[in-house]
Amino acid sequence: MKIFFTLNEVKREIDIDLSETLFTVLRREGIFSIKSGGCKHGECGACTVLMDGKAINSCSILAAQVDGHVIQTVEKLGQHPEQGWKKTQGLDPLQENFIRAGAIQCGYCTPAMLLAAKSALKDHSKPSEEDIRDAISGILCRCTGYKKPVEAIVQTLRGKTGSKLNIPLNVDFAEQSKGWEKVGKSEQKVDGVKLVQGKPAFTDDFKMPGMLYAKILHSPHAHARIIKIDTTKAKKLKGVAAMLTWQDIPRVLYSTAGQSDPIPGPLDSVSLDNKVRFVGDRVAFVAAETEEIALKAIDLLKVDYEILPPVLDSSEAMKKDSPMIHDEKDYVNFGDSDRKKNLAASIRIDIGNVEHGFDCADRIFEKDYEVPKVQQAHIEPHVVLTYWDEDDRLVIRTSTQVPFHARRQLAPVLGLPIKRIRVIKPRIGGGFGGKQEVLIEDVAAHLTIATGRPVRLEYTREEEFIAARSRHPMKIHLKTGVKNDGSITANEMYALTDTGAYGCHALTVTGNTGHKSMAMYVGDGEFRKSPNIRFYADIVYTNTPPAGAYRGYGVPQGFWPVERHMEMIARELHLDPIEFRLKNAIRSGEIHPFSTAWSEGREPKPEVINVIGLPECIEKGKKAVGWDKKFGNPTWHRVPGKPYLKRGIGIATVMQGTAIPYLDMGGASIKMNDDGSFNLLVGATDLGTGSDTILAQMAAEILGVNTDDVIVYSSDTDFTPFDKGAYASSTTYISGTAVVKAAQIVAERIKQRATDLFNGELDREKVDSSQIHLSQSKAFSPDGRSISLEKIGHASLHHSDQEQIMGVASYMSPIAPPPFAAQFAEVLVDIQTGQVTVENLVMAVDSGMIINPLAATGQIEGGMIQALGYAVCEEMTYDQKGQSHQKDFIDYHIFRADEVPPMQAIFVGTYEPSHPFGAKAVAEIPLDGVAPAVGNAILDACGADVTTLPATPERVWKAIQKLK
Amino acid sequence: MIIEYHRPQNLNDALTLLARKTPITKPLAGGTVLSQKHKEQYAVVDLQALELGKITSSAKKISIGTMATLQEIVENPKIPQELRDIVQLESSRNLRNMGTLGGCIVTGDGRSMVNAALLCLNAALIIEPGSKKILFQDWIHRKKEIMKGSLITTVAIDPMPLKFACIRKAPKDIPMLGVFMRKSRNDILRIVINGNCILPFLLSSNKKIPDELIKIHSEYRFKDISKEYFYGVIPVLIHRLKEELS
Repeated sequence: MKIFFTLNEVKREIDIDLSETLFTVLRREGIFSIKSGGCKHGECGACTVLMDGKAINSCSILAAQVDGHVIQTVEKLGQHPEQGWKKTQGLDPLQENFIRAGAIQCGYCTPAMLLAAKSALKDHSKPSEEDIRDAISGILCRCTGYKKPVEAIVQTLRGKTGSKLNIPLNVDFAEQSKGWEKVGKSEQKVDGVKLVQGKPAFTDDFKMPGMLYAKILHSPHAHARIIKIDTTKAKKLKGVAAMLTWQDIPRVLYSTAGQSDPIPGPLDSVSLDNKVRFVGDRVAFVAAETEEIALKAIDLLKVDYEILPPVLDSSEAMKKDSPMIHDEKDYVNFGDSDRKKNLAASIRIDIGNVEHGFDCADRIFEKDYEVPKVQQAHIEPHVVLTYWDEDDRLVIRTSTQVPFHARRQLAPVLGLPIKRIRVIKPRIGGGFGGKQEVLIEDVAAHLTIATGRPVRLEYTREEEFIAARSRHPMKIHLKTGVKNDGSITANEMYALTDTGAYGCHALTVTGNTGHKSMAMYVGDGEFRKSPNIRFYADIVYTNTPPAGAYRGYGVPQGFWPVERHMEMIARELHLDPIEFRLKNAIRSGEIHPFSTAWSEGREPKPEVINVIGLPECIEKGKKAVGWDKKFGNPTWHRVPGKPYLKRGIGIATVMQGTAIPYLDMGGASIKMNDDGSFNLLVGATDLGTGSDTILAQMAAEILGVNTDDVIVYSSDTDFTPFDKGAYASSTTYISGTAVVKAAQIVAERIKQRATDLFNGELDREKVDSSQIHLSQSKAFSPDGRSISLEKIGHASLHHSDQEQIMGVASYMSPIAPPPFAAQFAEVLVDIQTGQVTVENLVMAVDSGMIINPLAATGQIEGGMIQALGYAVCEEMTYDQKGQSHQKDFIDYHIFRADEVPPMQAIFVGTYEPSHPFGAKAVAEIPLDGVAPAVGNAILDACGADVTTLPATPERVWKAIQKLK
Repeated sequence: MIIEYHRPQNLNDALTLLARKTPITKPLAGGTVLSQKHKEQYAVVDLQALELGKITSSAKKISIGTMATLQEIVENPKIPQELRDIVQLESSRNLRNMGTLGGCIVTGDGRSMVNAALLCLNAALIIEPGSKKILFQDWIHRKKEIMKGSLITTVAIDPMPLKFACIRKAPKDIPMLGVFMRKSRNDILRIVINGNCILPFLLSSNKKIPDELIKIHSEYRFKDISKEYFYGVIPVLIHRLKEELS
């Protein structure tokens, strides 16, 4: 059928198939700003276009319906102001304000937000914030928490297009940051202009001639042996290029967890096996000329299964008569893993003398807690494109957080040496740990090897729920000994972790649970000098989808019980909950207790924590939330005229880590160009956090140039230096230090050449290179003379003593300085129904120096809203056969723009001496304290002690019933 | 898979197409459901040219054309505010811009706020051909039989005050359970319960509420609400809404 419509002000006539959606047709026509979230019911809105001026989902409308209508996409909204000789209008004010306000993180949903906002601004002469939030409610953003996008729209509405937003640094930073020109400033995102235009920057925006489409047949059974796969009919289907089962590819044991070598976990996965271990496990791969043919071929596969009894409850996994999930004989143990007991990993850490500590206690408090399995829910699904290049090297273009680990780990699986694999990480549409997994790259690669052709594979949203990774659910028992004066004498945690069918990240996630949450409270007095802490954990296999890395990496699981427990103890002992926490919390200059006992299976080395800004976090957070006026004030807790509503306020104090000591390494390379600009090549992976910008800022500070004079490229295993990837809150600290070291090498060389030029001038005082100062894209001599970096760069490449000025450096840290935070929540509880409304969130953070306050507040705001989902609504559940209840964003709700509460992020002024600019991590810690702060606020409101997350209305109601 | 696409310019043509025995022919409204991949082969009749989206109101009756989008209903000042609020809660803005009242009626399940409200308001559906009038409460149980070759063109409601209360895990999440209530002009209470179930339920006035709740709870998906909670909270919400209405 032919359709006639107007696309971005151009009349178009296009041939379509009747079943095609507008999304498919527009993508085929080169409109790459519309993105796929893999959803079936239009829940995510990443594919938004304007139809006759209204925001609609292009994936949820037939192309045929558009005949006669006007369609607009971001491609027409505005463009880069510099287009060579061509004059342009530049960016739309809305696009400019999205960049200025820090409204973009991964940028995957940005074009959709812009269009929805554009429509709202057109529809209303004076839209309220509520109207704006409603207007963008159809676009899910997992990164920003929506605060900054709304601010950007409001700014546009007010016509403030010329002023640069600059969040002032806290005064405490002033002394150490004196003289800094770029670091500590809210510099604009280096990739912002690209993202507001919806440029083809993401994995699926690249197409290859002759590209095949891959699909996976997933297991319908939780536990079964594959007896036979009949591929006859499927192979006969026209357009099927390859079909692979476990019999077609070599069996190579590996771990899908993207981690450094040696992998700290069992090798228990193969690309295809003759056994399936969860509903969603892989059975077969298909590559076909179109996605529809691939799906049809999947339907034609006939598989005979021997159904085995599943293990669906972690409490049953280690029982003697439980079915063995990994009965394969080639399973490779790590540490204490024991497949016969369904045990993926085991942890036994004793610090001090725990029994003695309990003996010294006046009171012992014990309780059980539970945390759920939740999804990372990045809006860009897992997606990969593989192909052989002209040198017969396998290119893997993939949305990954760990390109270098992926290359190393895939090499043996594919039967290729590392040098014949190139992994390219384009722009990533969010990851949150979900892409710290080598999840689907092997599927496309096997099919490229089988066919010799490019293969593209993208997960649907349903596949994200049934066959990707999640946060590990845990059942936790906590026991604490306390003196009557509030001194903790001993603290003991046992965690039973459900790793699902495979042990990816099994040991390290749960290790982190204890390593951070149980390090927070060391006790006081004699117990502070020698803390008594025990952390035991068993990480068991079940026949559910595997868990893996998820922002926070085990720590949110630990702080739910610890912070709920601390609140309960303080209240039982009639102590002020904040004073009780501070009395027992770890302090500056003390040794991280776990550093003496555990290091993910490696030799532990004691680490002193130099700086702890927790008291300042509490002080500033209390002030911002109005703690003193609300806590313990019966009037504030009441809602006039509604006796069934009660207000409550809660706090949680938390810590995280900054990188993994003696393991994480990042590299950087900087070269100078002939106009005084620089190329910064990093293996570090910006998954939306803004790390490319932050790394550019640090380089710019050292080199004395503008941030946009540093052109960042990341990452490509052929071109950029090694970096372990984006995880463990390490990029600013580890990769950032590498960038600073590389920049210092370059700066030294520039200064030397400047010195030579200065000293070549007649009748002037000679200068030494150590006296040269780089600033404003110039080299300054002590007597005020200057030479532009353009002149130095140009001369170095073309005129005399020609050389490429460049520097390469890398960094590995012996310590992991923890950030600290105080998180506050205010709630309204309906005591007759258990419904909880979170009314306010505040987080005060000690993350050392903040390199880019705008980006950092964005991290905190987005993190808090993700954590709010963990607190109140997100949960993955299964039926008795292991079938997932949640397969879309309808049954699995993530927060929308029109329902997030007010929130505030505050930084306290500390300076971490081990980083060149005093920085610590900020990305993960927002996930840690929201849930316990909400739980404590519910307790404060009505006395209901909810021990299981999320705090659903029913759980709160049941806790209230127990009080009766 | 769609094998034919038609965009008739008048109702008669649309009804003629929908009356065909083969191929299977379905009315296409906003497209949010039929645009998704389906294995079966069918033809679609796009209703966008038929001007079936008019909204009219009088003191005793509001008529809404089934091709009115949900957002048009939200923005229409002729519609009572509580009904506009309910429609706004049906879905996010993009889907409200696309989705129509008719589509919502035909495809919505027990989670649909709109369908619960229509049931509570005792809405009448006008079905063509023949301008037959059928109550929504009858239609939802017989829709397959009624809809063969026909089209709902209008929804008529009596704009009496409607109150509702829903329990959700997050403010805009799907309702775990909800109660809708209104008083008719002769003061009879009409109560509807919705939630994560196949259809909204109308409580009968001649049965004891607890007996009915047992049946309703048994039809909830995923068993994600316990009986204890369901039985405990529904009466609370009913009591509150009664107070509000009085």
